[in-house]
Amino acid sequence: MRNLLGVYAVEARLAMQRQAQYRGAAFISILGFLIEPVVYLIVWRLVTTETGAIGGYGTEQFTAYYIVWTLVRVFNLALAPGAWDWWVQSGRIANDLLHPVDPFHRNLASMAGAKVVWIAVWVPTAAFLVLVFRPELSPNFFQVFTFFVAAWAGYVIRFITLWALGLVSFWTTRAQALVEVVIALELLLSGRLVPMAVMPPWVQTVSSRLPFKWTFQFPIEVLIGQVSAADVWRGLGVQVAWIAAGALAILALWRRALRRFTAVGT
Amino acid sequence: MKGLTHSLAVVVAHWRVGAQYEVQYRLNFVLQVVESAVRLVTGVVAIRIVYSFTTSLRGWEEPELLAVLGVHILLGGVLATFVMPNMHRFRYEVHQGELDYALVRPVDTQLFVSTRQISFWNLVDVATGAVVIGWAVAGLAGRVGFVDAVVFAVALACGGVILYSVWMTFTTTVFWLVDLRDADQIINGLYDAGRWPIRIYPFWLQGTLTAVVPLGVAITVPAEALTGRVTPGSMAVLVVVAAVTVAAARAFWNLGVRNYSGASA
Repeated sequence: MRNLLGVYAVEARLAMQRQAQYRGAAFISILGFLIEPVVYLIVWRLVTTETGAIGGYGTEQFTAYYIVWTLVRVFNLALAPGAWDWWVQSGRIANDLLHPVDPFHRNLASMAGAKVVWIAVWVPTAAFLVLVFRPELSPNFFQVFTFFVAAWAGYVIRFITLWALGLVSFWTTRAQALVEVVIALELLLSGRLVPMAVMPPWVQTVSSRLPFKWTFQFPIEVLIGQVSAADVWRGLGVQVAWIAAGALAILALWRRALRRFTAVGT
Repeated sequence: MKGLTHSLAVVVAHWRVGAQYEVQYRLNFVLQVVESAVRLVTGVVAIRIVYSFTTSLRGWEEPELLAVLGVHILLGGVLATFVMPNMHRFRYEVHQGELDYALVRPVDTQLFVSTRQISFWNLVDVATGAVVIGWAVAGLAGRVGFVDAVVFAVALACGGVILYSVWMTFTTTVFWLVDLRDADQIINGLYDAGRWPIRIYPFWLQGTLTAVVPLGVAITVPAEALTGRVTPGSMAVLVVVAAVTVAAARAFWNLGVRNYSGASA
């Protein structure tokens, strides 16, 4: 266990140093990310200006929601399932399998390290959004602390979900359609498109029973104060349960997947 | 005239060969249908959610938003079918030093690198967009007349030309920039911003999507033409933007080729 923690620390530090060399690239990517929430924000500000608050979300809450959205989006960036197509089909994964540490841990740690630089680069873009849209956001220490816990936990859940989806590439070279469907479900049920409070009650029920909401909406709502303290603790518990369930699923899938893999190295 | 006929023959030959190659992979058709369906459902759901709380978004009603979505999907299909495969190959060849082989061909080089490949099954998106536009027209209850349809066709053609020119200009930066993957996020994000009419955006974003990266105007004005909202002024802006972006793409391409030193063996 201590060895594994050491591996995480080294991988994260290396990734951080690597990413720090590409600060400009990270900044450009984040600028690209901003467009999506800004569009949602403009649309919902227009709607709420006309109708008033919807499901507890008025203009101020929507503004705060979509600005925090941009930070949570940076947090929950994970390995895209599409990377697996190339990784498996080209046989390059054989190199990683020879490594004494499981690629899952190395990738999880590496992306976490790179994220630190991304978050630093995110700050000026967030400052721009705050200046333009003037959100009302004054979280207390408890909200800030639990937000960071929830955001990192959300990253782990999303990483596990996408990793499991990527493993499908061991069975088929045409996993793209499945990935598209899951990503669409995530868009609709995670709070990425709109907070679930805006959705019909049955959608909210479905959403709370799937992992997506706990990677996106939950951390956002913790910071903007849309959930009570009791619900924050309950939500963190749900996140832990999803991480545990996901880890077990990955373990089972990974062993089966590896049995299917053969490669001839050069 | 002879040169134009020759160029057109080259384009048609490329598209024919590309289509013949792609139709061998019929499973890709099924996958493309799934992708298009996902895109359609998420787009429609977003609109339905908004209009479950209001009847008008800065004067735009639900069928009008559907028209914007239809144009967005249709032009996105045109991009994915005819433009993106060529842009990806162009970028790859510059990285690999293989563009020389394209530059020495006895045809117009910009035309050649822009039309060599076709992603045939993405035409499903074009068909999906057309169906959504039909759905929107049905919801507009007789508001679309013959003149509107003609203006729409002209606006759609201008929109397509703008999209090609913007992507061509953007991809030509590969002559100077090593990696465009991060910048892809911005241009794709700006295209997605076109899923909503740019008239609902604040002035600074409308200006960006009209004058700086005119992807928004390329989608909104055709939809306005279909819904009877278009003015002579906005059509004039569209035509001018189309002409300027074509000229800019051409000038930028020539500049890039002059700077390209090649790297092949």
